[in-house]
Amino acid sequence: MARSILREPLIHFVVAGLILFGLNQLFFEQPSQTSNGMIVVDQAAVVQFIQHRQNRSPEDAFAQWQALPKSSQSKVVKDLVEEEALYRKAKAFGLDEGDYVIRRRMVQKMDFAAAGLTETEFTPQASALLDYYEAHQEQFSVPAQITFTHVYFETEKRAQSTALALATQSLNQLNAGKVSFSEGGQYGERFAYHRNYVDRAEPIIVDHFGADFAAQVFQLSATPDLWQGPLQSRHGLHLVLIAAVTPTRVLAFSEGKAKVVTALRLAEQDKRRSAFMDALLAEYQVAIEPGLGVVQ
Amino acid sequence: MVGGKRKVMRIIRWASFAIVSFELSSIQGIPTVSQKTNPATPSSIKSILSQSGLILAGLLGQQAIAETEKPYSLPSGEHYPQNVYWGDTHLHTRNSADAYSLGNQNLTPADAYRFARGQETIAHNGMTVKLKRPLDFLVVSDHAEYLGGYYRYNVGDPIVTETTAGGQWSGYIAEGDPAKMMASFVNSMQDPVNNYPFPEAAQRLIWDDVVRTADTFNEPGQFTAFSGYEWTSMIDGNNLHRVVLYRDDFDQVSQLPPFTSQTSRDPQDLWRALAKYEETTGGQVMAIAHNGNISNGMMFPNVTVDGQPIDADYASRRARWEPIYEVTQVKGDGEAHPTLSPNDEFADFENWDADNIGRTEAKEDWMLQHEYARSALKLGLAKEAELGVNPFKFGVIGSTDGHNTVSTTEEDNFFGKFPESEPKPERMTNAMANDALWKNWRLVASGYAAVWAKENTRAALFDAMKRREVYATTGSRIQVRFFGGWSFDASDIHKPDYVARGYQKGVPMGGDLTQGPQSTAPTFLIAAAKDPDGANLDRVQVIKGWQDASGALQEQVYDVAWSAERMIDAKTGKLEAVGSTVDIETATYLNTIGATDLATYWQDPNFDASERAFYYVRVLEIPRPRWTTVDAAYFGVDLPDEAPRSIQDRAYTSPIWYTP
Repeated sequence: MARSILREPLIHFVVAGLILFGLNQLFFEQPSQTSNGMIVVDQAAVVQFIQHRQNRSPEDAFAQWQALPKSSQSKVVKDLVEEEALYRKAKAFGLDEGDYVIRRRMVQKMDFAAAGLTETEFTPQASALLDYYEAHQEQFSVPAQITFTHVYFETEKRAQSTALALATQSLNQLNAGKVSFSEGGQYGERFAYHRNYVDRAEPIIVDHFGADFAAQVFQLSATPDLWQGPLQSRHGLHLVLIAAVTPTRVLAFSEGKAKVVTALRLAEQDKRRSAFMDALLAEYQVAIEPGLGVVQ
Repeated sequence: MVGGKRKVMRIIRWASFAIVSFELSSIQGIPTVSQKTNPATPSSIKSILSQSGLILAGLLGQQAIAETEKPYSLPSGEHYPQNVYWGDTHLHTRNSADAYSLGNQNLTPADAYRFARGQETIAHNGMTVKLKRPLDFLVVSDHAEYLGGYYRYNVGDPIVTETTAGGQWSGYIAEGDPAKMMASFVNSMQDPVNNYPFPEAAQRLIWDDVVRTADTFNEPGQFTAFSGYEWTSMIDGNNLHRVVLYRDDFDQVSQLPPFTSQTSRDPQDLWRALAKYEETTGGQVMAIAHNGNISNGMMFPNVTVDGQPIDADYASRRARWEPIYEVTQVKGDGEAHPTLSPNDEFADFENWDADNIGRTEAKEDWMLQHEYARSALKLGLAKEAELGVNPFKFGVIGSTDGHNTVSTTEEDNFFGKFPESEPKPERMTNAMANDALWKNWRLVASGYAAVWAKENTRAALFDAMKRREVYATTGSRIQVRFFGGWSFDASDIHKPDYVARGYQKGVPMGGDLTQGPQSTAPTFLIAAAKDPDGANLDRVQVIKGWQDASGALQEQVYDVAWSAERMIDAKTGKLEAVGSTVDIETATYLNTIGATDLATYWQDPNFDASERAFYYVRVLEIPRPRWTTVDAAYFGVDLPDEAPRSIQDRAYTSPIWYTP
């Protein structure tokens, strides 16, 4: 029994905590009023945390910790502190104790309760929805989309100047002949990807033509009766007939209301969860070994 | 202390009721309504217009349409699919009992959709993970058996804790045997009498939540989130799983709960349940069979699960409900097997052929023909000759079957299957499911479903799957067009409007050819372009399967287009290998070999009009470092001896069938 207690990670933790508590008196400022003792974060605790959570050997956990960038280290420390606080709270409520799996379950239960609370009390008022919508317009934007067809001249097997002459000649022909969107396919050369791009956003244009072409084509206006160009892509030259360009726009409140409700609920849930966590952490002193990261 | 505990339990219960009541409240809430009234309207007008255009085109011919009808929407003047959309039809979250048991305790369907749309996520190994390019669609297909149950049990949700199953699980935990609870997922399928399935009321509440979440993330024109689940039939450890995929919104999908293998493990009963759904709701649904490679001969069988020879009724229902098949995924590639196709030098590719999913029985050679797509397509021809209906007339897609909620297929951005196979130095040498299953180096960073459709909506994508105008890749975004017809000219493929010609004079992948002109062999147009962010192309091949006059099933692989400067050896008939630029030490490669795109016209040189046949296209990339090689370089660890160092990722199209 005594042996197994000595092997119990929490005991190590407490012992390490007591040692650090002494250090803390010397080096750290005391956080304000706390009642439930101290959460000590040192390198050993961090490594053990990674080891348990990801089921890895101590050596691998240590190596992983060392390989993490500073920002990720802070995230691990934050998770550790929160987990410990939630765990102690769950224990204080008399939920079960035991191995690490049980500990994670207890923590998940507490977390569920903390986030779940928000959902019960969450009955969004029309005004709250509107306020959120107005304050977070970027969340309700629709990316720019374009519809165009193109006539293509490759520049790998022929000189750029030859291609340019061909394209210019073709441009005159297309416009003089009032060649329509679907008739454009009778001109130019076979293109490896699509001939027509219908209601597509910028990423696919970047993927198929390159970033420069995409930036240029989105700058052009829709002129359903006028072929424009030539534009250069990484494949060659293109004459384009742009049927429609829809710029980035923010959904009207009425269109986006469903998204607003979801977003506000999630935001509210995060807020309540943080508040719960802040209140919980206020019950503890947190001492983090210098250099390990910060908990904001 | 006791009071404190009671208080917490009350909060927890209250919170879980709250979640349910919140979910219920949003049934009448805005997401569903907006799906119905808002963005669907313009697209449905468009699709009605283009459908009527198609009918008229059939009556009057294309010319008449072009002259007499100016389409409502200019781009829909083209009456064919112009976009290829990329997605994953097979992905799990913590709502799956096995995923939850094996460490995926936090990532939800909402997380799956966010990740698929390009948002950064923190994986279980603590690393941040993000797709280089977002997906266009996703099916979250959690296991139907105890769907959402382990998570909800764990957090004390009374929907689950107050069921008989929940009571049974509490008993196991009180006895100090939580492993027994985890085993009840599989046990409930074998023995639903002693391992209680959830009652329908609980199933419905959980299903409502799943379906509503899909509706919330479904944004017509931007991103398609399908409702779906996985029916997890296992018979004697043989995998007969099917992903069930709905075309519809909450109003229809929520009317019936998922069909579980606790109710029946017979696919015919699943099809009956799907028929009932369509009859009850007026909606549409399909099933996609799981890669057959761990079914030990049961995926494309000669007999039903009861041992009866399959008949015309079975054949027509299978073809009706299972129009597409998952040919490749993380647990192996299932296009072809070297034992079945000894003359195909590329058939030996990422095969998993040791045993079944339960690891209860080793693989025997006779099983293989009932597991691999090519042989199943051939068996389908023989069945059609015998029964009048082809039960295995399927198109193909790839998907991941990831259980850690992050759908990844790239060799240099591969996050494994379960949390234990997320990137870390030991993942190549550990084994799946707490060392119970196969070594994780075997995992394949595969695959994607590519869908040719007019727009990115549930309806357009579902309809494309139904007409099999889809293809599979092992993780790259290779673009492939494939048309078959009787009158293509060799010059058609070089024309800028070859796609329009393909649709005018022929059928696309997934289509049928019948009754050709006398003494003419079918002609094909094939165009493949490399993944713009990936490896160059090695070659394009046509794979033909047919039933000869004696009734024997035959196959032949034709190299039809390849990158420059290589010859077919006159003696062996083989095209010279493309070579390799892979540097194993640094896990890098160069696109200095291969082609950026390959296009060709092809006519079958050995056509016999009296023999039924199918044709599909396989496109191979040049070799690149396999994910294991990427891992070895990144973590500075040794590669397992057996792990292939490089990989030629590839695309498989749905076939075009010829029926005399």
